[in-house]
Amino acid sequence: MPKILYKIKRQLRTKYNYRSNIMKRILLFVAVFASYAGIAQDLESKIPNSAEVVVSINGNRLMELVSISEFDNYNFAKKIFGKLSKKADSTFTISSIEDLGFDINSKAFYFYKKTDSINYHNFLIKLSDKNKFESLMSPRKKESIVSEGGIQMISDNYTTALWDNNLLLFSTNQTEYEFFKKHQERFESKAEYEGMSYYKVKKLLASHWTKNFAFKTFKGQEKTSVLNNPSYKASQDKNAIASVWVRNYSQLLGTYMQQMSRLINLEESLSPESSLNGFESGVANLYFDQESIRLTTKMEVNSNLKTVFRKLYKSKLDKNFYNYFNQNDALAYMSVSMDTKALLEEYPTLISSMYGGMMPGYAEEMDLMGELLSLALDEEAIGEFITGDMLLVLNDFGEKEVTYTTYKYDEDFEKKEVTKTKKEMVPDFMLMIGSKKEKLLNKLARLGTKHKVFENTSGYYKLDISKKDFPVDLYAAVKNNILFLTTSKENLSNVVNNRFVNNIGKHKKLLHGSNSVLYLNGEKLISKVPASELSKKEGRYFDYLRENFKDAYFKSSKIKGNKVCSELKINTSNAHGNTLKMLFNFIELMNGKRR
Amino acid sequence: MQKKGFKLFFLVLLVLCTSCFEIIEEVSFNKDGTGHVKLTMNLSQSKTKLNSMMLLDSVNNYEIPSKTKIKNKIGEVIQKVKSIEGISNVQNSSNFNDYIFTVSCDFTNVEALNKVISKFSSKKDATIIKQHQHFSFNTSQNTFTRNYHYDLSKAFQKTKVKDRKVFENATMTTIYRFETPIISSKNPIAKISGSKNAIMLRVNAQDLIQNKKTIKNQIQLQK
Repeated sequence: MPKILYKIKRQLRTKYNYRSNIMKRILLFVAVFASYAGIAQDLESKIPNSAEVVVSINGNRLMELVSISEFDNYNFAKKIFGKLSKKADSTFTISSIEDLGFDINSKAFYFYKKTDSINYHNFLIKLSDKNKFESLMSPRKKESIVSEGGIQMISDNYTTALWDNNLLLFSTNQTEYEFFKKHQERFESKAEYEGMSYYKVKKLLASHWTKNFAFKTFKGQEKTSVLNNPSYKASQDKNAIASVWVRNYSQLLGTYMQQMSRLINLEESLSPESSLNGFESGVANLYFDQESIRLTTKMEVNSNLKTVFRKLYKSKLDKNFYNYFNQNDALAYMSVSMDTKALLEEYPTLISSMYGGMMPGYAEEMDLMGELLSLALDEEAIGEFITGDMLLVLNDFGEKEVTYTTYKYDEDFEKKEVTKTKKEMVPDFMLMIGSKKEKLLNKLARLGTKHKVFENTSGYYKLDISKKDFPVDLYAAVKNNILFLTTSKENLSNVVNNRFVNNIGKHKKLLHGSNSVLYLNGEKLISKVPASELSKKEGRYFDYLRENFKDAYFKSSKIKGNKVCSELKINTSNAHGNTLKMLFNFIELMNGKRR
Repeated sequence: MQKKGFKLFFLVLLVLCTSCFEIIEEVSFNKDGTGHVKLTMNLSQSKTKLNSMMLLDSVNNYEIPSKTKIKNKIGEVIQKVKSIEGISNVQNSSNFNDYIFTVSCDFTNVEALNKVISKFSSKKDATIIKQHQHFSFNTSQNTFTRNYHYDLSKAFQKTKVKDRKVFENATMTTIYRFETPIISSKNPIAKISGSKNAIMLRVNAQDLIQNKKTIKNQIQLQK
C-alpha cells in the first residue's frame, strides 16, 4: 500500500471519534480500492490490444496472504536478497522485498506481442522507488544508463529496459526467421548496411525496432489497449493471485508448432496460421485461498467445436456406477463420461477441423479418412457396446507374497539356487466400463471359459493371465450394464450377489457435474506409502504432506456456452493460515528449514 | 560409439531394477594359471517391477529395451568375448522369467581376463588396466590379486539422484577357488572356506560406492 495512504489512515484514526471513523474507513476503503484499480489500470492501459498473451501477478493479493515482514524472514527470500546484493551497488544491501524498489502492492504484467517480423516478450512493473531499483545494478551497468526525456534506458541487441519514477518496462525480442529470410536481399542492398554481415544487420534492426516498440508502449502510444478487449476484461478476477489470458490458443499453438517444425525440419507440412483449429481465447486463474489452491481454466471454442463437444459430452456418468462406489475404500479414482456414439460420428469432423489445419496439404486426405472410418463403423452398435462411461477406483495397496531366486553357499562356497519369498506392494483396484451389450459380453465370457482364457467362479470370471505378465489376479463380471474388472475377489462377489455397500458422499456432485474427474485422497494415499521405501529427505516431505494435504481433484466440466472449463483444486488442512504460506513453508522445508 | 552403447545398455538394465540385484563373480584357478570364470547377474528380486517396466517404453527417461534387443546385445557381448585371445568355451544363459543372466568361459591365464575388461572399457581405461591389472597372479610369490582402478564414489556422484536408489539393496559377491590352500588374505571381510581352497567376499553396492568396503583383495596361497 502506498505510504501516503498509510499516513492518511493513521491520521484518520487519531483525529476523529470512533463513529465517524467507521464512515471514514468505508470511504478510505473505497479510495484505496479505487487507487489500486487506478494503478493497475494505469499499467494495463499500456499493454497493446494486439497482445497475444497477458500474464498478471496480483501483488496486492499476495501481500494480503503473506506480509512483507513474513516474506522477508523466509530463508529462501534471504538467499535471493543475498544474491541480488552481491550483484548490486556495493553500498547497497537488500534485506527486504521493499528494497527492490518495486511497488509490490500493485499488479505486475508480462505480455507477448507478435508481428510478422519480430516478437516481443515484455514485463511491466510499477516502481515505488526508482533509486532503490537503480541500486540493484552493478556500477558498470549503471554507467550504461541513457536518459531520454525523463525516461531512463539500458539496451542491448535483445533487450530494452525503460523506467521513470513510476514504471519499469523490459522488452526482449525474438526475430522471425521466415521474415528475415524473405527480405534478406532488400535489407542487404541498403547503403547503411553495406559491408555488414547479415547477422549483424538483423541484430541492428531487431534492437532498433525493440527500442521503438518499448518507447511507444512506455508512453502509452499504442492505438488501443488490451482493456478495450471484452474477452480480456471478462477474464480478470481480482481474487486470483495470477492470471494468464491468451487471445487465440489455436494461433499461439500454431506459432509454437511452426517454431518447432523448423527445429525438426518439417517446414513444408506444418502451417503456422492454423494448427489446431477451433480453440479461441483462453484464460487460467490461480487462487490461493485459506484452505485450498485452485487453478481454473476456461477456453472458448468456435461454433463447430462447440457443436461437437456438446454432442460428445451430453451424457452424464450412468447413475448405476454410484452403486459400486464407496468413498471409504477409495484412495483415488478417475472417471470419464462421454458419448461413444457421438465420438465416432463426430470423429471425421474433429479430424479434418483440428488436424486438417495442422497439415493443410493433407486436408482432403484427412477428410476422406474420416468418411471411410465412418462408413466402416456401426457407431450405434459400438456406442452400445462401450457407452463411454468409465470409472477406475484405486481401493488399496495390498501386500502380496512373491517368490524370487537367489543362492545359498555350502562350506566350499559352491552356490546352489534357492527360492525365497518376499512381500511386495500391489494395487487393489476396480475398473468399471459402461456397456449396454450385457448378453454379448456374457457370450464372450462363456467362449473365453471354453477356451480356458477365463475360469468361471460362481457368477464372475477369473482371468487366466500369467503371473509373469501381470503381478496380480484379475476378476471380471458383467452386471447392470457395467463390465467390472478388479483385483478383489471379495468386491466382485459382493457386486454379483448384490451385497456391495455403496457410499458416494460428496463425490456424487463431482462425478455428476463433470465429464472427467481425477481425484486423489491425499491423507489416505500418503498413509499407504511405507516409510521404509523413503529416504530421510523424502520422509520429511511426506511428513509435511501428511500434515497439510487433504485431497485434490482435477475436473473438466461440460461445455458452458462456448467455453470448455476445467478446475484443479488442492484442499489443505489450513494449518498455516493460508495456502500461500503453506507453499512458502514447504519451500523452506526443501531448503532444510522447518517451520 | 559401440562402447558407449554397451555402457548405456547396462546402465539401463541396472536402472530398470529399482530395488535389488546381485552380481556374482566366480573364478576357479588351476595350478598352471588357467581357469574358468562365471559372471552371474541376478535381478530376480526385482522381477515384478521389471515385468511392469517391460510393458513401458521408458522409465526415468531411459529407453526400456525389448527382450529381443537385450538378447541381441548379449549376443554381441558374447561374440566380442569369443574373439579375445586366451578365451575359450564361452557360454551364456538368459532367464527372462527370473531375470538371471550368466556368462562363463575358460581362460589360459589372468591376462586374458584383463583383456576382456579392457575390451569393454574406454581407450583411457584400457590403458590404465594395462598398468593396474584387475586380475594378477604372481606365480613366484603364489599370490592372487583382485584390483580395479575406478573411483566408484566419483562415478556415483555423476549419476542422477533419482537413479541412485537402484544401488540401495544391490550386492556384489566374489568367489575364488584354488587348487592350492589359501594361507591368508588382505581384505578383512573375506571369508576362507573350511577346506582352505575357496574364498568369498560379499559387499553391498552402497558400501562399495562410498568406498567403505571394497572387493579388492590380495590372496596368499601356500608356496
